[in-house]
Amino acid sequence: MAYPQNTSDSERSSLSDQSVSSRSFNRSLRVAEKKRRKDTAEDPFFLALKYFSDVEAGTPVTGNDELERNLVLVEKVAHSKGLSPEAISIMLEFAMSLRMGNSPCVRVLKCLIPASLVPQDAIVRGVVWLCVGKIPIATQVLFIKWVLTIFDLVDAKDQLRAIYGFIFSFITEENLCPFICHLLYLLTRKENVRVFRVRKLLELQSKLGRQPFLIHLLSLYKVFCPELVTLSIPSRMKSGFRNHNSTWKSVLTGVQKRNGFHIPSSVAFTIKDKTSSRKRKHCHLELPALTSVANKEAQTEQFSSKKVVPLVQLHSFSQLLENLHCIELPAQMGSLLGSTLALHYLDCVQDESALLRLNFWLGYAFHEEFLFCGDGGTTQNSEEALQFLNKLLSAQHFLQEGFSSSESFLYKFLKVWDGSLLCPQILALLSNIPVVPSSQIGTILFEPLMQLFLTSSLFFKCGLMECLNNMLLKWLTWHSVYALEDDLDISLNSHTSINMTLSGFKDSVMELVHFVGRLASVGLQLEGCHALLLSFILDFYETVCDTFQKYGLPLVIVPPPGVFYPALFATDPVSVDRLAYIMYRYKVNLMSAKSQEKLTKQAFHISRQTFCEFNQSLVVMVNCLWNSKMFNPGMAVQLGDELLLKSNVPQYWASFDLIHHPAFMSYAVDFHQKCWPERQDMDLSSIKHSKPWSWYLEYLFTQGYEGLKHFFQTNISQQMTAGDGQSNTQQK
Amino acid sequence: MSNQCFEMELQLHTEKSKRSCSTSDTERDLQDYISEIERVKTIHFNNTLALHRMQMWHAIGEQLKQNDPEADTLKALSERCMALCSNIKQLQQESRILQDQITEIQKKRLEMKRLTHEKMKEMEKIMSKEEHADTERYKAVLEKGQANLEKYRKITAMTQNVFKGILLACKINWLDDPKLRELAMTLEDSPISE
Repeated sequence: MAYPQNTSDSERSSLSDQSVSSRSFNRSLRVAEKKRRKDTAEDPFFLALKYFSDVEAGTPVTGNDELERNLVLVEKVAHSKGLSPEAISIMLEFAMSLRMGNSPCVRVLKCLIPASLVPQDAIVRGVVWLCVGKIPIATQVLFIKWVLTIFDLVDAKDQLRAIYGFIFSFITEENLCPFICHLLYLLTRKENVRVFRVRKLLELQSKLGRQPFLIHLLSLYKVFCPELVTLSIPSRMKSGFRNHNSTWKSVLTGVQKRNGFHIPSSVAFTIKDKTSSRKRKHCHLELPALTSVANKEAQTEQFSSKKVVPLVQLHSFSQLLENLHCIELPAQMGSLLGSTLALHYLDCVQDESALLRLNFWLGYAFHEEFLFCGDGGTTQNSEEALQFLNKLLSAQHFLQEGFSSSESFLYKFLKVWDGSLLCPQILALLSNIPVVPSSQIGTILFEPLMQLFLTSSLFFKCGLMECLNNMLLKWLTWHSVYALEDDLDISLNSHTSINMTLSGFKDSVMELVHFVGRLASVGLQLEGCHALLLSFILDFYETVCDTFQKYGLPLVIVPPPGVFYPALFATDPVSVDRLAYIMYRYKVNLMSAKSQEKLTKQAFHISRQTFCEFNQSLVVMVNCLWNSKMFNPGMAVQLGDELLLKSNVPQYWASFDLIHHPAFMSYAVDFHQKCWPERQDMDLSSIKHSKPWSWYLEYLFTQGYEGLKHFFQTNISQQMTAGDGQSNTQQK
Repeated sequence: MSNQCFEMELQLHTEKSKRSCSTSDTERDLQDYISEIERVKTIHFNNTLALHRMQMWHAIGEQLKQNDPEADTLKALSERCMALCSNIKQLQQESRILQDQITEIQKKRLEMKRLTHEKMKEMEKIMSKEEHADTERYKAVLEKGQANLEKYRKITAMTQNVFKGILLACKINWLDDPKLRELAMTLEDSPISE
């Protein structure tokens, strides 16, 4: 259809009179006329577009003023407001069909700045023109670069996915390969991963070497179908796809700003520009919204009877239960962490491939964010990282177990952590680690923790104590539920097949408790027996003392002298009371263990050494608090007589009993005043007489010191007189 | 400890010939020495602590016995401490109870999870048994059918690939022909689900 090239005002009417015109042309003319009446400025542009859509093939380029004029006009509009979707279609078709040769094509491609959206139709057409194969390579590269630049502005992607195979075929072209890989990366879904494609990529790799773009695409394939891609992808992938949009980028942002319209970018990776700091186009840590793999409703596959329901369409727990066996997981596995239904699904169904994919995604996110930040990465993204970790923590809390990728990440991270970045989150993640075999626990966990502990502030020490306490609690809870019989293999994790015997588990717990004992002793010495640290440590030992009674684990570990004595000599009564409570619980546990052993003859054998240690501590405590027999020979705290005399403390042997103890002295004074208000000079030893002593004890117990009450009730025989107290110690 | 150091020094001085020692031995010895050092440090620290506290509180006790204004401030301070300690004790009791409740609930949830997994496993066993029971009769037919399915799936995939190859090799614009277009757009679909 050839139409007169130049239109002027005079010919307007003649055009409308033309008989040889299709209805659509008339209509578009009428529309054009209407538009023209409203806004005359648009007229030349519309006509220019018409020119480009109608120009015949083979029209000469050089010396064609018409072409030049229209092209300049289009470029002007493009650079100022951007081109409308229809304009883009027309111009792209014009360019890629090479109707007027290569040079206008290149010029047009360079000025294709969209104003809002790009119809996918146009891009499909462009790709088909690539198939025709008449376009020179450099222009092909330019076209693909353009597609990558405006990828986020394409209105829909299903047609592009339908021609995935055609796009894939261009991968063999060496110049196009990196860009095609990037485009495929953006388009790939699970269905596109085929064996022959994986083979092709591996072939290319052997030819071109381990190029980053190939590895990226292969890693994506691996995420979707781990069983098809067996090669190991290095988890450190520093460079993303190269930044290629410089030709259009500045103009595009300018246009978008002017239009006030900005679609956030989705999945393009960029690497650090050499000059500017790293541009974070992709939020690695943003948990993507739960979407379905295909943008269609749940439909029956044509030839199979299996109905697959995308997870995003389920909205209630009952719906989940109905469809439990035909759930389709979303393409972006990270989105599972944000949805409670998805977590329910993960919890109930042991879906190996889902977990594999999720762990792979997590591992990648961790690596990108925390282990390869580069400079300035942490400060920029700590808000994002915080959100991510919080979501991950709530997911782990819900599932009551950790993910293997977060575990391996932590072991690596602990070695480089400074102890302050995202401290509460990292410690919380740490407490979710499943039981570590005792052979490895020293090197992978204890060594870095020891280093961090010794060089950190008081609050970090307290935080770490709490973390280790939680870890122990979780291990014990897991054991109490999963170890049904003695010596049976305990599965560590509902998803792994690593099993551990009961003795192995006991070894790990013992290692942990001894490690904490060491940390506690050294920590208290470093911090001068700070009361806060002591409180966290006593929290830990409150958990440890009841391992047998509360959690059914046949293990008793007594606190080391580095913890026992600072607690006994503590200046606040709360700590002493807690120590008394802990010792009381130890005794209960030991006695029940002994009786059980006699009854059932089970293999729960507490070593003689444990009893000895415990007895020693018990005797010391009773002597010290009740019998006023401090600094006896045989105690661990032994000071020479001369030294004691030098200290100028009369009756030093009574200096830590319930009356003179630093923690209780104020109570003694208070009691003394209440008991004998008329006395002027205070003689605290007068409390030691039998009647005041029992009143004093009553008084102490009513102040809330239940621990002391239990302790003395179980350890002191009925007489309850000061100085006469017999302690019933457990002898073997 | 000091004896050991002295002995080691002697050994080093008088030793004429070099004694080879393995790293693992020395590491073990190192561990022993480290724990020995820690043990002695702890004892020393505890002794110092006991002595210090004893002296300190004896002095405080003496101060409290008097009736001067300093003693009064001390007494006021100790009253405040006692009140705070009662508070702390009460809160600790409450938190202990709550913690116990939390642990109980967590145990119950974990138990529930374990039971769920067991039930799922049982269900799968039963379902596979049922399938087996039904398919026993039609086993041969089913196998043949599956083999056929596999064959046709491969044929489809190959045909799709070949057609794609032909289209590419011909270097034509298949969009212009509606029939070709329709066909080409379906070349990516796999009609038979895996």
